[in-house]
Amino acid sequence: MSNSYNSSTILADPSSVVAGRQVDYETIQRIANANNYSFGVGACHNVLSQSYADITFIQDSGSFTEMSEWRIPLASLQHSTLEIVVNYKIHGTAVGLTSNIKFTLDVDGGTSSVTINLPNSTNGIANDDLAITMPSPSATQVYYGTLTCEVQADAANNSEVEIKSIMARWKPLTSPLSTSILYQYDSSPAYYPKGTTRTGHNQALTSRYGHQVIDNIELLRTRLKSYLTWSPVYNASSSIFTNPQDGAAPEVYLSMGHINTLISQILISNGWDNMTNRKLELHVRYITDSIDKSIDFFNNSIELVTGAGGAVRWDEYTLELDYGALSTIGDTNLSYYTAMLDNTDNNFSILGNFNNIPGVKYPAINPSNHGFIIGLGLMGV
Amino acid sequence: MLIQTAYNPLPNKQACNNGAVLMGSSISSMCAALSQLTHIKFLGMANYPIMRSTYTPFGVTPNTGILSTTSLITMSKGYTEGHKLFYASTPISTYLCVIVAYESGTNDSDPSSNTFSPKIDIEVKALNDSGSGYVEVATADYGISMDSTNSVLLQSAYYDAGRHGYVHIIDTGINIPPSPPTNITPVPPRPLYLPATAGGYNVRGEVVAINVDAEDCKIRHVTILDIYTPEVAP
Repeated sequence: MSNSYNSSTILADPSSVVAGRQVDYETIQRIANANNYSFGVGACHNVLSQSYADITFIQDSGSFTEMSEWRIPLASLQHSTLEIVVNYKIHGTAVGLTSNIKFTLDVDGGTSSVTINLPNSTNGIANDDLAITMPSPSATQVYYGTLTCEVQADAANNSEVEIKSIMARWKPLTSPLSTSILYQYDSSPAYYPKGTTRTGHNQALTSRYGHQVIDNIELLRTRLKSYLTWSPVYNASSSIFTNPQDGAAPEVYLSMGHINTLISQILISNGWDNMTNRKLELHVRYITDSIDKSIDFFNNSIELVTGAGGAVRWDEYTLELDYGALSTIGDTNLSYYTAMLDNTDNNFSILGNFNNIPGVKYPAINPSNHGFIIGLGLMGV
Repeated sequence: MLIQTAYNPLPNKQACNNGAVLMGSSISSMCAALSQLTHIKFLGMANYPIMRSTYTPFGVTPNTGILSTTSLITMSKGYTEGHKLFYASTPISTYLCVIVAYESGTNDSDPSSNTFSPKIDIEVKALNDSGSGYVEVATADYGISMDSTNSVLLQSAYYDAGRHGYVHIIDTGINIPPSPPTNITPVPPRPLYLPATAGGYNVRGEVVAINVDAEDCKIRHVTILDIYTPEVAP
């Protein structure tokens, strides 16, 4: 079928076209298959992964209450369905469809949301799809979305919602791909699906096939993957666990306890240095301060945006690599590097610590929490 | 065929022009670049930070929203916790490496015993959504048990009372066994296996649950990644 893919036939053997071997035209068909598979399925693994221990993510309010916010990369402008899966526990007994979690996705100003009901359970799984209309491709790249989470509980029956883990992924495009030109993050270059029926015939192809295959590979190499999604839980509330030793005491600010422990393993393949596109980007959600501040992450010193204190904003920072300093795990067969907050004097002074405890907790803002970080996202190719 | 890991230089597009003699090496280069995409770049992975309580008995207030190392070590021997982590596998996911960062107990919290015995069990469950949400329907891999008896570094450790968090890092390894595992109870560390199906339900390409159960330690981070296989039958 035209523009189809089959995951069992995506490998075209490079040695099938070398001298001394019979040229197999199936090789060309497999090239088309791998093209389509890569566009439809590539980077459709987790874009959001976060888990919660110690009853940190808990809510007792009967109204939807904003709890967290993340930055996630897009797979493409064609991947418009975000699958969200939640592991949760209902404390007490809720009545009816009163325990819910709501996700709202913002992509370039366009928003969509989904509300997922959480039936009574001590270890439940809930999931649903969030469908969004992606913006029309333009010259400006649209490559990330901002996902916000709200929770409501059955307050009337003294029931509370505890979230234990959240995962999201872009759903793969089904085979066959659309017959039209497809777009990754902008209008040019575009992706051209390849017809696998035509390439299965033992006939010559025009130059268009070769040109587009090479263009497609170059485009797909720039597709972003999610490496770290950390959001605090900034409105936790419980009437059951009134002692913070028992629950409802989540992380609200990026802190010294995250140094060396908020970890992401990122894949840096050889040839990475020669790429000229967006390669590795740290997204920081920050309460602005009028004083210049920086954080040290992955051997990069990141100068945070300075301005009138108290504004909450996301900013994007390009990271560079220091190969000599960044590998901390053993043999994984591939070149994974450990990206995390560096153990530096600067981080110790700017991040939350016992000598630097804000007087209020976000979403309350006053000068005591200006300059604190309330979200991190790491994405790269 | 071998799967190259690097982004190789792509052929000159003019080599594909009508009338030009298209050499096999150009096609070979495209094949290699595509196999790098499907079997390297687009392998699945997930990095799970595990949020911990910021409660501390040492601070001015017990609930600051600030995470410090000392807030994590109030643990008694016999402490247990469990995490259900969802992993969106790819259609070609087969073996998974899991990397776990954890803090083990300290002697301070349990003066009666200074020997904690940290243990971490990991299994894989297949999920199915028949219309009313995901349910764990089958065990895809009964998994592994990591403890101090199977040559894995899981000993107790004092926390660094200074300035930053301190974690041990442990992993399942990447040595793919010669045949798919058949154990029905957890075994010493090895890569986790994703069969094509389990209990009649598709596993590869679907969301699965990675259940991580810990004793005598607190999990801080879990990375799950598809293991790269250097040589694959085309």
